[in-house]
Amino acid sequence: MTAPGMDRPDLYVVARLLEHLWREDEPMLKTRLQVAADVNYDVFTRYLEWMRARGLADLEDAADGHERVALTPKGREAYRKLVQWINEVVEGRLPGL
Amino acid sequence: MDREDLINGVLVAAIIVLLLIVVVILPPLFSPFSLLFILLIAATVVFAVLFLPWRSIARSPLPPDPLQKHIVYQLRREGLRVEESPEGTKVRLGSVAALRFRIAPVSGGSEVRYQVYATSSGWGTLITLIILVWTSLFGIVAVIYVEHKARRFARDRLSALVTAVDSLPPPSPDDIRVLLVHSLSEGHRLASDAYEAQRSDLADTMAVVAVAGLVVGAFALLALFFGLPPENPWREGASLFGLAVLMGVGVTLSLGWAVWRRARPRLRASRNWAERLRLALVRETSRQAPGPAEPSSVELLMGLSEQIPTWLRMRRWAGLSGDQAAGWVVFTLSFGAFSILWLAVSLAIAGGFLFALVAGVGGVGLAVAAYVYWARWREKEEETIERTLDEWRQRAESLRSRLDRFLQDL
Repeated sequence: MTAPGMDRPDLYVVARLLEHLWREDEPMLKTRLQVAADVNYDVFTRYLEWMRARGLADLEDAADGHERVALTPKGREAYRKLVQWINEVVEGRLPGL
Repeated sequence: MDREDLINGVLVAAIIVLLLIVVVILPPLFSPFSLLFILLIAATVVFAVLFLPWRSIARSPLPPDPLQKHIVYQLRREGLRVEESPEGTKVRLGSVAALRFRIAPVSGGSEVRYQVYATSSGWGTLITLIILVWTSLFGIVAVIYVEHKARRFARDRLSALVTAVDSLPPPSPDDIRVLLVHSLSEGHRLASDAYEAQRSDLADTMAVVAVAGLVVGAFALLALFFGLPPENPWREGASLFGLAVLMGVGVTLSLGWAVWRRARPRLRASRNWAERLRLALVRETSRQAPGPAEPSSVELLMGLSEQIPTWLRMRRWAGLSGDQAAGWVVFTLSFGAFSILWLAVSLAIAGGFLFALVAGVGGVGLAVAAYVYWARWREKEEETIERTLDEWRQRAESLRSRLDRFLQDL
């Protein structure tokens, strides 16, 4: 399942969004996440929808009326996998090598 | 006064005694040549005594594997360049000094042992100082300095880490931050090594350019002297010499500029990579988030995995410049061969044909030894680089397919 206009998302943008969410101890304001990820609002909205559709991130309504984005356990696990694969490549520990 | 202070005191006293012996007592007893030979032997002995032994530094109740993981993680968190290999874990302590440590299982836990080591450029400096003979005394001082730095690090940092780990759980290999610190630190080490190998290669090429300028100047001098008619005003000594120097300097500057211009983009790229990875590592250990204009750690590492084959190819181009110790062995053997062959020619001219023959055979033997050593080194280096490149290609391919699947499977 893909969000409208997201046939093949850019892994770099997905990784950037996941990393920013992972670094925060609490849900992040949508605008802050957009600025941190350095993408325009349209692109950000499409990626956020794409991540929500796959259960990587969730939207939360706060009492102050601002929407916040939270990393789900699946999103955290996805980010951990990414980091672990890259670590295996950098430190040369892929199976069979 | 503790044991380490006592050892330091004895070392300083030994250097002073050695200096007194060399400066006051030995000169009247030996010829200058014998004195230089004694210094060379003394420097080699001091080097062997301080660099070869593996010394025990601490014990821990933990098994070797988790202890190794903990120590490496802590050292990398401190921004030190750590390289794990089957021969031991190397820790770089500056531009010259380094240390290797190994952890062995013993009854009731593990024992950490270390050996004094040097960086690639450090080996070059130490070997140069020792084998140039007239600088052997400085070689002894440099060897003692490196040993002192490594011993102090082993005593103050390594030992403290081993003691501290007893009360701490080892870092979880699945922890995201631990993985990021390891990857960024290893990436920083690879980028820094690539940058230093390229810088060393550039310095060597510049030296060759300077020699080429000198040769051009000498030939220009001869050509002008024999080529210009005697009545030409440029044939006067000062003018002739000035023209030759101008040609030599012109060739050196233009060739040097071309070499530098060609090397600059690669040098700048690897230095930028090293700096970006260092900053990312600092950011990770101080738990700061990257700014909006900065790439995330994962982006940086994905880009890094694409750079590594290029750096490996640069290591191949650097040749002996990237391995200063091997470079010095080849240089020493070649220089020895040249000197002995020169001696053989001089003896032959003077009529001492038997001695000339012996010297000639010795010179040719050294030249063959230099070539065989270089050829074997090159073959081994080529094999290593090719194998590592193959491994990297497989790793990069595997990562790409994993990442593709990762997006599809989500």
